[in-house]
Amino acid sequence: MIAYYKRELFSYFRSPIGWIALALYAIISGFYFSSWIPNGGIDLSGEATFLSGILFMIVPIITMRLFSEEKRTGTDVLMYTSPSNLAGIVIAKYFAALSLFLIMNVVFGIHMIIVVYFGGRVDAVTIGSFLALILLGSLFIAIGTLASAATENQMVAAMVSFTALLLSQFIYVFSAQFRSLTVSLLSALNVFGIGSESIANAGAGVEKAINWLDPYAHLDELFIGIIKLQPIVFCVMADIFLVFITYRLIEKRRWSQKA
Amino acid sequence: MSVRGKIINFLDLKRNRRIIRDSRSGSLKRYAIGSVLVLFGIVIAVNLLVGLLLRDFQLDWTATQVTAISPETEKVLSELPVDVQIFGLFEKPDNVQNSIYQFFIPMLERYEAASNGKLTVKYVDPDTAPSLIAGLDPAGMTTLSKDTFVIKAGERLSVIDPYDCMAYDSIEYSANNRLVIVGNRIEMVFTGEISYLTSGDLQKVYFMKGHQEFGNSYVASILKYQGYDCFDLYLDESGEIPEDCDLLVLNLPQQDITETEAAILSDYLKSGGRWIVVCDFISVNEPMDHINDLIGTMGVSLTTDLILEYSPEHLFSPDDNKYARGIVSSEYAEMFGVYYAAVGRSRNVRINDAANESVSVRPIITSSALATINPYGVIDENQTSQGMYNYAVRATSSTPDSVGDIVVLGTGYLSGDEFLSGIGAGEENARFFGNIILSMTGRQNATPIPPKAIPSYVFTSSPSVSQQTLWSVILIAIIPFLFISAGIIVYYRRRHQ
Amino acid sequence: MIEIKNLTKYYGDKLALRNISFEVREKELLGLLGPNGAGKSTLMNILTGFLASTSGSVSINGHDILEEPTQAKKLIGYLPENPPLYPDMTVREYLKFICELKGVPPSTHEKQIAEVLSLVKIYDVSKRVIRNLSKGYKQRVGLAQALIGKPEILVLDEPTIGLDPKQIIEIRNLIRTLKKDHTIILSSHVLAEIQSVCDRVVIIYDGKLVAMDTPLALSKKMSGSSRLSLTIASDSELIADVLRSINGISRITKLREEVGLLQLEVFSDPGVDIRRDVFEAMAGNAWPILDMRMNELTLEDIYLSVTAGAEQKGGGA
Repeated sequence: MIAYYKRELFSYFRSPIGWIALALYAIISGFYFSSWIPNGGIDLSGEATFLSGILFMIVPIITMRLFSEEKRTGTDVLMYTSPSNLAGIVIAKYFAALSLFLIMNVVFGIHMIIVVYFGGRVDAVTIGSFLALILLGSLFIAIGTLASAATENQMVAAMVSFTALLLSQFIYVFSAQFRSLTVSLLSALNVFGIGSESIANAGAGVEKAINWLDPYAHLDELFIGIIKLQPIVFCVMADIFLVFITYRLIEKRRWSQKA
Repeated sequence: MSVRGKIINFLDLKRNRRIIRDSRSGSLKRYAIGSVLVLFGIVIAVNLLVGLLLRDFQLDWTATQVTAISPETEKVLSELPVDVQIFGLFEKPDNVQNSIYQFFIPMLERYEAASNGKLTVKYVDPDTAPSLIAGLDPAGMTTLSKDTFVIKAGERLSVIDPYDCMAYDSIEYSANNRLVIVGNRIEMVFTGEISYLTSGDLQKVYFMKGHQEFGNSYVASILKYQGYDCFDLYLDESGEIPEDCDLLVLNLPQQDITETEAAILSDYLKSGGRWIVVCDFISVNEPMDHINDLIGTMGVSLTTDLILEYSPEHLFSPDDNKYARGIVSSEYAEMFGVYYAAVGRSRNVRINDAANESVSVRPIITSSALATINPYGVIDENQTSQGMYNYAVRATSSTPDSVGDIVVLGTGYLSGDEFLSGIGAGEENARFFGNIILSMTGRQNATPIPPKAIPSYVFTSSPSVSQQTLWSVILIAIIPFLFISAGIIVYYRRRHQ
Repeated sequence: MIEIKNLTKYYGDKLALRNISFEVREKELLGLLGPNGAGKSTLMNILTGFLASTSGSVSINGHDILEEPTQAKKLIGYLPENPPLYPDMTVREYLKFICELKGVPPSTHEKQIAEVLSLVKIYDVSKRVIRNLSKGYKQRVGLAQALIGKPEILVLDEPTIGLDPKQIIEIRNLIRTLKKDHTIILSSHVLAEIQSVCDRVVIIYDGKLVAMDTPLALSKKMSGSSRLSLTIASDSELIADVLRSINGISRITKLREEVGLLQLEVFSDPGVDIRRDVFEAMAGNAWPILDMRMNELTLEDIYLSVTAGAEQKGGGA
């Protein structure tokens, strides 16, 4: 397991990918930060929010290769024929990508130090936002890992994760659509004589259920400095779930008849 | 092989395959899918559990405890005599972070939790539930519009505009018409209203109007919290001070009171009335003769001299001796628990020498012994007037029947809206003013809740322009350049290795 | 000891392996012979746990590959057709990774790596990045990877493919050396290769196991049978009949028929040289022989003859 973790993490830096990701993140966050300095002060939670908004572009770059490359070059043989635990390998790769993400966020730490140096304010709001950024990143990386395991082509993996992550910012739009869909569907099927208020409630229920999936909503309070347990649990559980699905996908080889 | 034979072969193969496949891969497939579903169930369950049981488990590390409620509020909430309902007349936003409600919603959750079920909070879009709105205010005494809060306790109703609960940077507003939030008075407002609605008799405070007074909503909301009913009084028109007036406040008038008013006030004071007069330097050229006559009977005068502080320990900034740290006299320091109050430009409030035997006059806030007084615009190079001067004074007189009670302030920095939101010590000053009122009206047990400051992210040791450029270059150019060059180096080295 | 029982593999609708069963004894060098697409790689993939069979079982020293995968896989070193190399790593980094992957105790990593590097003779490229190595070296690194951890069993899929003759000989020698300490399964589609090193040969054709025997026995079956390629400048229908009448001809196949031209393949029985008889038969009928040559038996021929032989003997090989 550690073998794969080390290999994956180092390989990010043996090729330009890791360095480019680091440089890109540093430039973008640096731009944001520098544009605020002349204003005489900066609320770093704004920067964290901004960065969380561009994650949908950065994460696919990190995760696209994780599993698809193995399939393509045939090195996946090693995964399956070694006595190592396959689950451990999946987790190791996920953590390697996550580690790269954490390293990228060292620049945020540098920004915090600069702010303190100039006598600005680094408070719970900043810490909460940073924590939210990391949690969101971990969630997105899990999604990217899953996409990478689903296909052999790293471009496809990148596209799929890009789209999924982008759409996650608009879950509230979908939930509203589903609500109206449910309502119209139930109204059309009004054979059971369901009251219109129940239909409305059902619609609202559907919307609420879909909205529950929205990670941004859960992390909201973290962004304003209230460290609640619930968002952390949500993200961690979602990570576990997605990594588990990834594991099952990889493990599929054991029983699939199409391979 | 014949066609028929081929078909039979093919079908045989298919059947065999299906049988063979079902045996092992089928069960493994089912196991895999099943395990995913089971985990999904566990994930949902854990989230629900945490959401329900550990809902209040949170760390609020914000310096001012943005969502925490003070012990005072907890006390009020635990002793609620009736059920209180709070309605937010809007759809509860999913993305709280970007709206003004980010300050309200978490705090109100705490209110609900601390009330042992007596207080409930609901968010209802009035457009979708018109019947609810009608139910809240059957008599139609107030206009219930969207995006406000309504507190209802029994028959009484109170409407709160969220924007009133925040303190704004007055300079930004007047200069650029921008609302920049600098303080958070939510707790004060809400608890105040709740107290007000659920308490029995309330003391009444009347604010005199008609003299181009500055704003006093800040002070009024503090008083409301403490269970005072606040009203405006146009004394000149009404001709009398209401019977139920427990305290009269003249807050930062820009012109003198009239003779009629003076006469009414004189009677009021003689019969034990309580009066707070606040005049600041802005009105310094306006002769306040009537006011001075009145307070003169209690041994106090509002002079036209302005105080300049010269003691370095009592200045906020060494170059500016208008803004000082006033010293709270020991009597009040002990009572209120504070030793300094921030005062800006202030008039000298003089205690007259020839005081009445039956009047007790003492300062509340003084300068250091190194202050000077000078008429407005005069600069005293030699500091000939060096001495200790008063920013605020209390005078109580005792006649055989009752005690007249006045407080005279020469600074608006404890009670004027514009002043309080403009300085960093706004909440402390407002609390101080509230304490003064309490000490006058005798309710020592309730303490005002200070508003919470929204933290300012301004750099205290701001970088110079060259430093700014330096750091910009480091962050945008140098660090990424280092990464990229490291990448290039690694790439080329390994390319030919 | 490897036991393969009734191994069947379907790729969707396509049947890749049909009911294959055989055993590999300890310290034996077994060769898997078969044309491309016969199913050798599939068999090896299943053997090492990379794929799952549709039915049947594989057990390595008593450990079923599906039920006790960890124990079974610990015993195997696998070199697939495409060596599983990470192009961005150096040889040494890669082998270290393999050590970790296979659970080799960290204290022995350096020692193992050094041993393998010298065994496979890649010591001088140990610091090079794999991407920059030649095909021959890459193949050897792949072999090195299989050797890490000193597994009891080595499964090598076409280990000499794409190598030049010198390298092929080196690898063969290496394999012979390894034979002393390992059980080896080797696959190839070149008969000569299998023959030179293996103790036993298993022939896979079209997913079926068609022969299992020592090389000696097999070659006996092969030698003698020959194939004659004949081009006659005549399109007479009698040609085939005349040929059939010649003693020792077992089979005739028409390759090409044109106006005035006939191209045939004639199979003879073992030990019989039919060339003289063919010449005389053709000449006697004034059918000019444009071309007559003896061809090496291909694997297909071997298969056909072996199965033909098996059928003659009443099934089973």
